[in-house]
Amino acid sequence: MSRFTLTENKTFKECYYSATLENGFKITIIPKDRKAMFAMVCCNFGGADIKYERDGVIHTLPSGTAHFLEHKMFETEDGRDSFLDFDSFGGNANAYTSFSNTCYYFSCTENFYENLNVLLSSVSSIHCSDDSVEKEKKIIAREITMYDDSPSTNVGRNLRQALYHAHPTIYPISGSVETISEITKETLYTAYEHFYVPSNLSLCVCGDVDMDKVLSAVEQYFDLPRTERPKTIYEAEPEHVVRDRIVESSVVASALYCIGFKCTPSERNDYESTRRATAMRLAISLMFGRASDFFCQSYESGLINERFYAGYTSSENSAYIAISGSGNDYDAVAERVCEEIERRKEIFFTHEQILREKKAAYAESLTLFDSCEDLTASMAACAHLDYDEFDCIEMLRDVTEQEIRDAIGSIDTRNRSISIIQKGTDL
Amino acid sequence: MNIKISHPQEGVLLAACKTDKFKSALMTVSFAVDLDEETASGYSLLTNLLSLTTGSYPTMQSFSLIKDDLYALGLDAYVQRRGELLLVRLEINALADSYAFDNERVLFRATELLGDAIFNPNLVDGAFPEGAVVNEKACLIEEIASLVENKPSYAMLRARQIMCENEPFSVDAAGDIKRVEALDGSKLIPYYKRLIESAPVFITYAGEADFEYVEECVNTHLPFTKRSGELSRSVVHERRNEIIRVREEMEMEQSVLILGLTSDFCDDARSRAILTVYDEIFGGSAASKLFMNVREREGLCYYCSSYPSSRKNIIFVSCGLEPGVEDKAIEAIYREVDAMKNGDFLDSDLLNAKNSIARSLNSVESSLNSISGYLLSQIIAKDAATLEESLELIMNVSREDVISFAKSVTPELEYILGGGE
Repeated sequence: MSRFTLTENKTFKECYYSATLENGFKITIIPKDRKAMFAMVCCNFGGADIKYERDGVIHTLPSGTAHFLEHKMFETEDGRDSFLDFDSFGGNANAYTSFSNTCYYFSCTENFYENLNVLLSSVSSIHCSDDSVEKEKKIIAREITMYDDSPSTNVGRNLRQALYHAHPTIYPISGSVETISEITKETLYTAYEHFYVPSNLSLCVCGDVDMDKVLSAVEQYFDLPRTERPKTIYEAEPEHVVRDRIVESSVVASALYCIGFKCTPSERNDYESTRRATAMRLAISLMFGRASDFFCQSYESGLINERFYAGYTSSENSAYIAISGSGNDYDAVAERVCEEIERRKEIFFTHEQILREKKAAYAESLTLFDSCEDLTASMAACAHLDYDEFDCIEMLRDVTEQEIRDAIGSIDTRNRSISIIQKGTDL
Repeated sequence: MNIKISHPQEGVLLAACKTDKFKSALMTVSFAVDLDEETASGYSLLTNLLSLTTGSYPTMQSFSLIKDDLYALGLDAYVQRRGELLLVRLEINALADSYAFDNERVLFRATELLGDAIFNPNLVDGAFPEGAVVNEKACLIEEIASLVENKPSYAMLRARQIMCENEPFSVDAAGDIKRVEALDGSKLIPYYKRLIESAPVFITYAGEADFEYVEECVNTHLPFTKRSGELSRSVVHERRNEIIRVREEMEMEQSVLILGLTSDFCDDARSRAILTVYDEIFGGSAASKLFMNVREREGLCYYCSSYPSSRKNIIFVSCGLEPGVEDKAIEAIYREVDAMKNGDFLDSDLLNAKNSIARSLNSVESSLNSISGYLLSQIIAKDAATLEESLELIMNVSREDVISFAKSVTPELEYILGGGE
């Protein structure tokens, strides 16, 4: 009897199979009849996991540890680079680290199981030397300074630092040149031992594969007892922002700005918090999307331009709205944004407007299924959560007008910051 | 792939791929004109205006609302450099009909909006409305000026401008600020007329619709008149006998190095296959010589990649460096250029490179964008190889072919966008 459970959605004609090993390792398989197949291993360990408790002991990691580990996981026991092994099987591999996850993946059109073995082998053990760690610091330092040279990255990072006092979202995912200098081989081995446990790992595959063979491969590489993931510790975070304005100079065409509203966060990333986030995203789209009164009037008056974007970010213990753009009238934009939020608390949207927005959001969300790569990443990231991507799409239909109204009502327009990158020296 | 190519009109080509693997569909309309610094700005500004409003939906909000109502129809327009051609492209990304409520013919209505954007622009007294033009000029100027914010892209543009001075290849498709400033609503009309009346048109479609349905949409809503289908060919870059070194300074944490290499011109499918294999081994992948040696062994950079142009005899190498190690990096990259000439790569490297390229070719069907790109390549280039032919050409590239091509690769430009000093 198959150990996989089928989940189907007949509305948008998609399904997936899932299984959980006794040690907690989750497997998700999305059957797709395409030549290119994807597989991704996702570890619930990211840039935000800096302080944690394990067996009653508190540990602290230098910021950037999860990302550093990502760089070293493709090193083999004999010091080679497993990219070469993927290459020999025609696989195209890569990895990335977010605030909450580290993901390793490959795509291929042939030799799927050979590539899968390379992926699972890479993630199931760590091999690095003191020398290779030191050498990697130089490479990562270049990556960090590359981001430092990107004003659009900095404007968002500065905003988080203006909004948050203690939440690890204030640290860059890749750390800083200073923090990575503290990382040693021992740091990486400890972090690996604590976080790369089966109950904190998942594999998501998208393609026409033999599910039992995938399951056997995982069992072969992760034949380990169950160990619980350490608990990430978040310091107490005051409700108010750190400062209302943060300004930096850089080489930019005109000022870049990011206006942030600190929102009430959820302690967990679960169905309920995701549903609230969905309501907030619909609210933001209604207020500031391309068809909104605000966007069209502000664009046509020249206050904002194509670079204007409004979004909502929520994770464990942090949630904020970020409204970014370019232009020197950023204070006027902030004022107009606040006016619009307050106006919408009084004059809500019509039923037709909300239906149109939900219809548009539904259609946009379906395009996720057009990209095996994006779909694999989304499904892998929520393997250990109590909801999946199917639920997220259903939420768009189910979220009520009252929930959207409540989302707007919850925004405190006084609890805001603005991050500005102003024009510095010219070339 | 289930592909059909047809000629709705002389000088107008339609390539459609029927696939049921996607929940959306992509239709693109590309007008091809010569890339020229005198006209790029006009086409660029015109392109932005065409996607903003139409004659039937003359305000941004009315146009945005109708698109949202049509299942968040994506209707975008942009200019793209392709060798020494400028492509003015308008495209729609629409929900597949079978996922719409009440059996709506989404593609038909979406093509109608696309046709409205192309054939019925929002004009006032025979010109694009001044208010919108002023606004879009400001946006375009900002877009052009903001290229400095992306240091690797800016460095690449500067390298192209320096190495290919006086060649169309150096022209930025977005245009330049001075020429954008000089434009107005009336001056854009000749650009518009050139597109509508005489520029070759290439239409692609990828999605679930039958060919008959696609043709019905195109014939009904995109009634192009006949025109010449002739395209200009790229000018071969005249090779210099010296290496130019240019250093420009910018306030930044790390330096960006761009090396400009010239090579034999690859003007047929076989020589393009050799170039592709060469590039894969040299610097086109995470298993390449540049990645493995300049990044992994020497630890000089985070990224070091090569970017060949199959329509120009130029290969660029780009990497981000700690200030002060630029010369060391240049030496390290030249070592790999020489290693390729000397055949210092294994047979397994050659085989892996071919397999990697085969994977990319076989992955064309993975996304609507890659299918669309493939369809365009099939109708825009007269000597385009099909997927199967390309695979065969790649697999037949020999070690000697790669070495022979490598021997034609010569350094010509060392451009450093310097930081940190």
